[in-house]
Amino acid sequence: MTVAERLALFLSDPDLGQSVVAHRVQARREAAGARLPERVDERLAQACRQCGIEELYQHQRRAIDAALASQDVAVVTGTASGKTLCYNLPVLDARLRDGAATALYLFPTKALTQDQIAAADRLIAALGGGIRAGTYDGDTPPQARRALREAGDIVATNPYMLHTGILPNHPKWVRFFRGLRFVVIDEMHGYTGVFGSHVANLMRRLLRICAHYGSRPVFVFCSATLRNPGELAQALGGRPVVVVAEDASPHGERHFLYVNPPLVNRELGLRRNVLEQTRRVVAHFAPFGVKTIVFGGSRNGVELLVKYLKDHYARGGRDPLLVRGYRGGYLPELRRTIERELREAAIEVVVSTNALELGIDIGQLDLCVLAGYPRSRASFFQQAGRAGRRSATSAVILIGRSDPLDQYVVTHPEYLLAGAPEAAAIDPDNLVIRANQMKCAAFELPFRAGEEFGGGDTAEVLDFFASEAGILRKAGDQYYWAARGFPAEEVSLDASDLDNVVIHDVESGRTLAEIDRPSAQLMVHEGAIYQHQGEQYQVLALDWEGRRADLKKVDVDYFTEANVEVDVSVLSEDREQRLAAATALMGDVSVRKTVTMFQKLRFYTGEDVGTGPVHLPAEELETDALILCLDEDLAEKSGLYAGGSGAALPGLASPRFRRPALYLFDDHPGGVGLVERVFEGLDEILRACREVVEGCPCPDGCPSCVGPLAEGADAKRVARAILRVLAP
Amino acid sequence: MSLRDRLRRLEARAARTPRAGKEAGAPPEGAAARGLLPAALEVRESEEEGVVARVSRFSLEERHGRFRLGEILDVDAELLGWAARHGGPLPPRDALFLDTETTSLGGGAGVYVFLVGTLVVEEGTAAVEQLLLRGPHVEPAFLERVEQTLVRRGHLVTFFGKAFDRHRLDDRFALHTGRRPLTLLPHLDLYHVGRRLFRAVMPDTRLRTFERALLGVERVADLDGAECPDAYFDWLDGVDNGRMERVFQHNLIDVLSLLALSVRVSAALAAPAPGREAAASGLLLLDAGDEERAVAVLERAVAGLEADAAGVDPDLRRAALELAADRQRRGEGRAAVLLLERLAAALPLDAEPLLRAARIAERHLRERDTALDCARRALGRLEAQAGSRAEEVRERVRRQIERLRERE
Repeated sequence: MTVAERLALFLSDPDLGQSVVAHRVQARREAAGARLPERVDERLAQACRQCGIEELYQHQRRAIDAALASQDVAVVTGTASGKTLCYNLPVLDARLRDGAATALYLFPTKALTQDQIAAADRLIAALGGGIRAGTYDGDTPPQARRALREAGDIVATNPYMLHTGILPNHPKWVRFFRGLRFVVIDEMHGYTGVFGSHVANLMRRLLRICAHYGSRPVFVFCSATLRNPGELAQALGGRPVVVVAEDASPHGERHFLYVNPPLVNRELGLRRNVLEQTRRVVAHFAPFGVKTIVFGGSRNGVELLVKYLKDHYARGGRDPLLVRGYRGGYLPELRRTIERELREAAIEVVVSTNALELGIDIGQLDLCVLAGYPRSRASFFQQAGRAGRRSATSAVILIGRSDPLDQYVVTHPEYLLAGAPEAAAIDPDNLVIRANQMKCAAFELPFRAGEEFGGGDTAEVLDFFASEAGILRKAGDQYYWAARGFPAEEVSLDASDLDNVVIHDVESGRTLAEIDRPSAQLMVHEGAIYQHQGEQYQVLALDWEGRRADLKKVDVDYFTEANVEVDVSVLSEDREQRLAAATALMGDVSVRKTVTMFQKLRFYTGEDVGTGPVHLPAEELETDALILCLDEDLAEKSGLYAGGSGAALPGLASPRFRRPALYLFDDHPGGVGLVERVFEGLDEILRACREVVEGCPCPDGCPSCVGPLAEGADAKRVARAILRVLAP
Repeated sequence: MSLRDRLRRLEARAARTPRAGKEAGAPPEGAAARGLLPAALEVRESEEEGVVARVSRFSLEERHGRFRLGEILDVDAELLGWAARHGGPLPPRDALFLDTETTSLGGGAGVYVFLVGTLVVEEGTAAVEQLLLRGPHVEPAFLERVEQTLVRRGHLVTFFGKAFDRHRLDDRFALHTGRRPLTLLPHLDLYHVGRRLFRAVMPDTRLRTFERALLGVERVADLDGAECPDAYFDWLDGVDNGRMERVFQHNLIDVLSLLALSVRVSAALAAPAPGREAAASGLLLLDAGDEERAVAVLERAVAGLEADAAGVDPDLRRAALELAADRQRRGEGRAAVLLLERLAAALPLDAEPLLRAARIAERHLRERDTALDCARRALGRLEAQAGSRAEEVRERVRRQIERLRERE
């Protein structure tokens, strides 16, 4: 049965069809083709034809032309629009013309790296071989590493390896850097926030090293749709880029359906559970030949859905293994197997967290079901992009949860479809990030006096490092690294802590999965039910020091959820600024997160069937915080006191300041300077807040301004009153 | 808040997180290491572009620990070639003994080689040249000078240099010139051969340990290698607390020990102490392909077979098995069986010597009774072992016994 036929049945179904609150159709799009550029080496053109590439899409042609002309370029088109060719073609062309030419491919994760190298390998094979492309990451054996350093033409890696492995050891890569012609940054949309800001500095370090060895590589960026791709690419590479954004690849008709589960308790406004609704929707399509991907939200959500769908398949007498889960924490081999089975259509449903949002090659699917709004437009489009065929019809179904944000989104379909994705923001000149990256850069090559590294105060930072911190030494007109350590080891690119907890199945004696330390507190405390591929394991013991959890498979009718208490205490107040009717403080805080207990919740109903204690050390981090304390007058006038109309949150007054206080902290050990930026630009930020609140057309609040209505009917009025005083 | 204040705040927080790193100890009273150093004929120090060069010449009659420096000239070039797995002789006159000091014990582009110490034997003396980098900004001139020294000799002798010194120096050359000149040189790394020869009789395989146990060199108040980087940074800052002089001395002892250890290694290969040292030497020579010499050394090894109260070490066991195999090949089956019997007596749980003896007795000596006796005893030892592999072997021995009995 085709997707279109199944869709018609869905819409007319008395239960399921009733819940569809909006239905939009994206028309079919025809391909716009272009010829291979004349200037491409004839051997390469031949190889393309051999791989079935007779002609290009127009966007590919534009991108390739730019790259061949040594212009930095950003390709920003949909999933499966042939972005890989946009860089493989110019890279291989350069290599065919110059045997010493090399290229660096950067991917945010190891999994993607493997995939994309396979694509390059197919073209290389058609060229008759002789070009060495390989992955250089933590899994690469020493022998292969040496071979790539000494003779690799295309080296694919990730930012972490570039940061600690390649750049600081550039004398081992002299040949590679001398010949470096292209730097490819795929999945650029993943480089935002702190991580993206670090990656921009990695590129500064890379370009310094290239300059030392006399090369000047061209950047090719590839990205999913963003509001500001050119801006992001320029921030990452430090140079203006040509943006190619008109997607000329074909796609079939695509349906967007917004589903609001039926009310089960009108008085309380409770709707049918999102997972249950998702199960029903998927069960309508998947067993009828509709290849489906489900985004289940949290890891727990994924495991519950896998269990529910497997149960459904088993009841229908079908093989439950046609349903698979996919998420971070599964071991790499399992993930590779699932990816392959998806490409080969050996499974019917995959339920995933956002781990499959990135460009891992799983082929194109017929249906994408989102169990809840993924919290950003960019994520929504990434996930929706997984469904879509060149010519056949496909569908995306968004199922709303009961919470206000989801309710707003499903009842305002234009909010998603009319608006562009969020802008991707990075701040490479953030002082903490840049100063740390400058240490790494100075280790790699001395700084010349007068040399710039991003923002304008490079000289001042260098002077500080030389005269006070004692890690650089000025000799002649250069600053040299003059300390022992290896700075890249001490600078983390993101908050991810590599200190994982191993999940061990005591019966099979095998490692089931790995989990990062903060999540381990929530998911594998003693007594927790840990779910893996829809099966339940109980945690018998958690050895926190040894980073190991022992689990045993069990048959229970409940899952568990941990409760976390967050406690912030102020260590120092370093800076203060007076606003119209408030005081802003900046200082160090200690944030303690303690898992205190867990709840047992019954499958399907979510009924609370018991609790248990958790005894784990608190996770503590010291970081920067900004504390905004409202003056008592203003709090009084706005109704922000116990029992007042603005007191939506209990205990609003901070015990330390005895006034309503707003804490903002960097959720990153040591802080990354975000708070400082907020503190410096507080006036501007408050003014922007006021503009958003006053400019929003909604009457009483919505997710785009002060948040959903549940914050209190008065929320928008109170927020406006406060902002008018603070940002006059 | 000024930029400087903001940076101070960051560094202060970073300092709150404890980091690995050694505190430099206070310099001890009087560098007593001097007492054990050979007296130099002359010491010349000169300042050149980028470099402070110090050349110390020693008479070959001087001693370093138990060894006379001139003994290096008597060393067999072929043996050193075997020791380096070089595939050809390494004449000691062509040796460049090399040891470096670096600004960090790890690697990476920010690690400078600041002191290169070398020793060569020339004009009847041992000449130690120590080149000190005058500052990171003059590194190209320094490296040029280092290269002039490198080309004076045909091969390197280091301790752990294949993993360390060679890469550190080559990284510096690569960064400035794109070349890696040390990689091309034949290289005897005394760490690897020392480990192979002396592991069984040493608590660990550090140079200090070898010096004490094999060379008779005891360092007193020597600067810890980990303190050298700080001493250099202080010197660059013009802080002269005498530590740089101690770095020079530390490095000087290192290169002298390289020479002495080379002599000791070649002695272990030419005339090893009976027992374990001989076993390791013989096996090394056997692997290198020098069978004739290997057999002679293995004879020395098994001479001490019964004497070893601590139990037979794996090298010695393998030495005896190899030697027995060699005898059998030469048609000296009886001698082979006798040797295997001795090994079996020294290793009361090991079935292998008896299995081999039984095979040689059956096939080569054609002595049914001896073969049957050995096979039965081997089976007795095998009974005590578990596992499918043991069962397989047992089965084979049972068949052998069967076969031998039929011939009765």
